[in-house]
Amino acid sequence: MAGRNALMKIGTLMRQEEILDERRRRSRAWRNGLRCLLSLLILISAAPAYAHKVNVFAYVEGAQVYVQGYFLDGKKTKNSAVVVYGENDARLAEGVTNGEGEYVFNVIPNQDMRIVLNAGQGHQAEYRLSVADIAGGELHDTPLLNDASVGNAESGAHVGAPVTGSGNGGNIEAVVRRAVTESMLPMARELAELKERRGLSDIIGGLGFIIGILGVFAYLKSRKPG
Amino acid sequence: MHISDGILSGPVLAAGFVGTAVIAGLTLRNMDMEEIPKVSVITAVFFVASLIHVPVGPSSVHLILNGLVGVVLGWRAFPAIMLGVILQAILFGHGGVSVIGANCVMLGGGALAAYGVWQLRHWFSLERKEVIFGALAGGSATLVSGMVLSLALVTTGEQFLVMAGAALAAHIPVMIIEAVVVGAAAGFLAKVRPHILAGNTAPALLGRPSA
Repeated sequence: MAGRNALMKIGTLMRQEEILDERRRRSRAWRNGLRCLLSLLILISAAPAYAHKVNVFAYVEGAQVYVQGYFLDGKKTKNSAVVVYGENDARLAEGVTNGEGEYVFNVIPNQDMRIVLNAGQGHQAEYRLSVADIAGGELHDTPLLNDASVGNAESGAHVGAPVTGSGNGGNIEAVVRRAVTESMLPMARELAELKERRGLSDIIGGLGFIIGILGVFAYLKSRKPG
Repeated sequence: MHISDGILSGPVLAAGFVGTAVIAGLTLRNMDMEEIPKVSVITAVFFVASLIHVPVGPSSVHLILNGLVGVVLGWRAFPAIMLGVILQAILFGHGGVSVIGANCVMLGGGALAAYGVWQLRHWFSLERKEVIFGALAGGSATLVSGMVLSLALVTTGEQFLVMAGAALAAHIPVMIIEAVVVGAAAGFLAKVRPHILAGNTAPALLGRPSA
């Protein structure tokens, strides 16, 4: 009798042990899952956060405008449609980017330009060039402009070599301007990327928003009578 | 998959907002206090998911995880994704601000489709059915969102079948990855906290100790 009671007690104790083990295992699994999530979040925040966005910028060199499209993680936008709008949304030029994501067209003077690049699937970006930008890059009142603008073909989907100087005195200015533009290019690109970069603070801000909004929601819910 | 500003016309944008308002109103009804922490965590996961890039061929894609949202939150997936999309647009510039309505319908619709596929598991009794149906739900979420994207882009003059084909082709890698991630997550949650998944009853009703 006593022996059976003892066995039953041991049985109950073993059953309780099993339940506790089960609970420990479950909470360990739960903790592991949370650790995974946390490390994932930390990994994400360590890398620069680029939304999968398409970006475009354009610069004037000589008598042509070079349009460059790219995704923010560095990939170029190949075969993307480019449309250039002038004043009153008049279509000034259109074409398709080449394998390097570039599209070139001839400058149309004295117009603010809005360059729109569509990379398909709902991804689109635009870049504005004002008359001042164009004037800055263009070469006014130099023999070069006459050479460049006369008789140029309308199609722009090629990467032509920029117009080079022809040994004239006024062309030192042109050469200098070209050199400055070329050295500005990587900076312009980095600036565009920097403007789009989303850091850890944006992520934390978003998470805070989520918790906050849902917290307000919960508070309002708790105040409902009954 | 988020649509940028300036692509869709006014009526489509308006329809997006109206659709979002209607569906949000329907799915927010009788929301329990208890659900709010869960919605909060899953919204945070969805919000951050778009930062995870996966290089695919010439371009790269990012995770969406609206399938996971549907599998865990059920009907509440739509308001969760709505909040996530709004914050992604405002803070990350991910998707245009004028297109928030359309993006919500696109991604929220995918999540609700995933919930539908996920609920089909009740008709089967298979080993590890949560993993299987979680994977199916993850893939179908991307599929349905791609269809809505193609529908929206039809109004810009594109051919639906052409757009749908292109959207599908571009998102097949995403579909596979989403299927794997959601299937794994659903399987894991089914083992440790099955009551968290949508369509499973809470432990109190089953008499199990809530570990």
